[in-house]
Amino acid sequence: MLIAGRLSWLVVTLIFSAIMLSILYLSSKKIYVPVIREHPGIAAIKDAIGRAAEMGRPVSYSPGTDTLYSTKYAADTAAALTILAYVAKESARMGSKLIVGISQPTVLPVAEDVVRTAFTFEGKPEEYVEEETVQFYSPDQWGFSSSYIGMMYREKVAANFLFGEHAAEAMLISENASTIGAIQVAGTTNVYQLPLLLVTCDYCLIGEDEFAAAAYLSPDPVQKGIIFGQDLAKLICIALIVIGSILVTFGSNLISNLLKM
Amino acid sequence: MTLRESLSQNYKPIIYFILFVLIGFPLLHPLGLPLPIDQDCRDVYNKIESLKAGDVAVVTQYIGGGNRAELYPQYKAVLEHLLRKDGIKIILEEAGTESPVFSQLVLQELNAFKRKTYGVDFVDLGYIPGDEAAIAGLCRDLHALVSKDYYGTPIDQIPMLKDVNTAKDFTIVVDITASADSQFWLNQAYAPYRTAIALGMASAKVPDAYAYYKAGQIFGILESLKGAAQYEFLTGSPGLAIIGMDAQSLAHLYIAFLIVAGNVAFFMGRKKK
Amino acid sequence: MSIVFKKGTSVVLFVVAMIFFFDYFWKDPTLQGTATNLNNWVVVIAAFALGLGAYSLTVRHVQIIRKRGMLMPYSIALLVTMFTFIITGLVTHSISSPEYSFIYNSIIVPASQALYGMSSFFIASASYRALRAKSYESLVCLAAAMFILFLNAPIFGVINPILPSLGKIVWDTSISTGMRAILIGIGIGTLTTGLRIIIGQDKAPLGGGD
Repeated sequence: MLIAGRLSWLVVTLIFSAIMLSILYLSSKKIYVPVIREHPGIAAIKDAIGRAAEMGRPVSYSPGTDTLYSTKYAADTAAALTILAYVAKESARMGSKLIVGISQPTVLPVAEDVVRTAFTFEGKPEEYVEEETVQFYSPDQWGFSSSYIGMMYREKVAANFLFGEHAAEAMLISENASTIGAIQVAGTTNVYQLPLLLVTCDYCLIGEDEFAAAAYLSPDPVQKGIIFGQDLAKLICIALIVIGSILVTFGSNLISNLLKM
Repeated sequence: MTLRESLSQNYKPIIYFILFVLIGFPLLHPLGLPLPIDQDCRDVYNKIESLKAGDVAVVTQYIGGGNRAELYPQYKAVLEHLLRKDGIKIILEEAGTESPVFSQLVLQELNAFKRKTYGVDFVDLGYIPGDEAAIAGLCRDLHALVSKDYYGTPIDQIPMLKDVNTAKDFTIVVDITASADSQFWLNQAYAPYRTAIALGMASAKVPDAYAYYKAGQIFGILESLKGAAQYEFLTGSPGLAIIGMDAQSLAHLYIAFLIVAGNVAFFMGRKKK
Repeated sequence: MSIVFKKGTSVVLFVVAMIFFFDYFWKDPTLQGTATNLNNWVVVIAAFALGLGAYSLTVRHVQIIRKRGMLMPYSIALLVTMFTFIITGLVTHSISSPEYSFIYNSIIVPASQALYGMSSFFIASASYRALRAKSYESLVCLAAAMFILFLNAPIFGVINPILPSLGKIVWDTSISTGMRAILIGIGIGTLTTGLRIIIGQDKAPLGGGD
């Protein structure tokens, strides 16, 4: 027996899921792979790594302080790991040392795998040093931020990347990195930290720009399909809002009554 | 090196020192600035004031050493209000690893064990790991998730929890947090069970909560230290939050000044070029 | 991780997700009981994850100590502190015991609050250094920031009562509308990520690609 008041949610979930699954299928079979334009942030990432290589100073990267199974920021962390693969490849190619700071123990093996694979792909597997290239700090945000900041000062990093979910430590890390003189590129969907990162970083990917950049960089066509599918879902939401607003203005509660069923 | 050059290179210590003085002075000598009460704080107060004997109030918190200054005054003020009312069943739950420390601290500071009877008027379920899964478990079936309270007493031996099983039995939930678990309570308690929820948030998270407040999905917000100060004022139990608001006011004024000064310096520098 | 293990995990993930999905929409006591049990197992696993964090920290820092790296003194300090907390808590059976409270209030609280409080100083220096009206967009951003400052500090109401009202207008009109758009985007993103994990498309939680 269907629980009262949840029919509309079931219909909406099924419609959105159908759209997503269709797009995932079409993109995975390469029947339709949407074209994602290059995000200006990617050029900023490349420039930052190039600058670090010229200066002979390392690059630091943080994929965030959340897990891959978090309800809110799992996608953020996954996108950060995709961008990490790109940063690792570019660092290996340009000859710049990469140091990755990890907060969550469950993200550590994934990050190690990503970086090791990227270095091997560039023909420089020896550049990957166990426990030095990818360093686990602490699941606690303050333990992580103080370790990461200490690493930045010791290594005198020339470029700092903050992708994924960062909480209050984002401000501390980015401001300290600017004191060292590191060029910074950040990206997060955590809207609470976006204003602070916008202010302190040289370039910031705002919200879904991070997903778009990860989709562009990833060789996986499914990632591109996801961006397109999400845009379709948002168009449906916009249509519902616009139509609902117009109807309510003229005294009809049709859309809101339908969504309450 | 000229004074201007010195200032432009060494401005940070000067900024930090002035900020330190502006925050420190009102804490030692409160200024007594007026404190307007926001509607969202007043709504929390009115809702708790309207609770009747037998109502169940779940107060959950994610306070840690770092956000203690912002959130602990909210927690204390809300619990003080609840403890003043007769017959309310108060369920405390902690969502963070450091949170039980603050629950025990607040119970001691408010003299809860002397004012009310543990197990009849209030109970502390302790820290339940799992973030959203923990909240989902509490809302689905409290007795299936939690077998003992914080002190090791079996749940079925606690009289006040006999008729409290799911989120349908919670009259209100007050979640005091700087973390994402405000969203979790909305997902697991409000959406399926329409439980009345209020949020006590750190300042950065308030915009998130405000969207839900305007939509009527939560009945009130305690906005950071300001909300704690307003609640202390409403309950007539002034504490650190009210004193802290003077420091916050001066700090905000200083930040506004720095923004203007920075932009003036920027435009003057551009003009010179 | 072997392919068979990964495929098996994906199948289990799918079945569990479908149990929760149907439980949300269908009233069935058996389904509800199963979903509740599975949910409670997540809580148990989360408790183990705490232990995993402590284990990972211990392994990492013991290795630093063995290699006699530059950070060896800090690693020793961390391990000594961590095990002091663990042993104190286990021996006294309480985190509100005088002994545990003493070390907690002496170490964790000052360190956490110092780090948290530092962000206010960094915001101050960032306000002077970086909040510049370099373009029309940044000017709008700055103006909004100023209005919200007016709203959040009672002193601006003393200076001029109209200042908090300006902040309230910005707060009521732009904040909730902007946040709703962002929340909708987050919701759609969460649905997409969940779908990908459920159907086994997203390999990251299983340790990366095949």
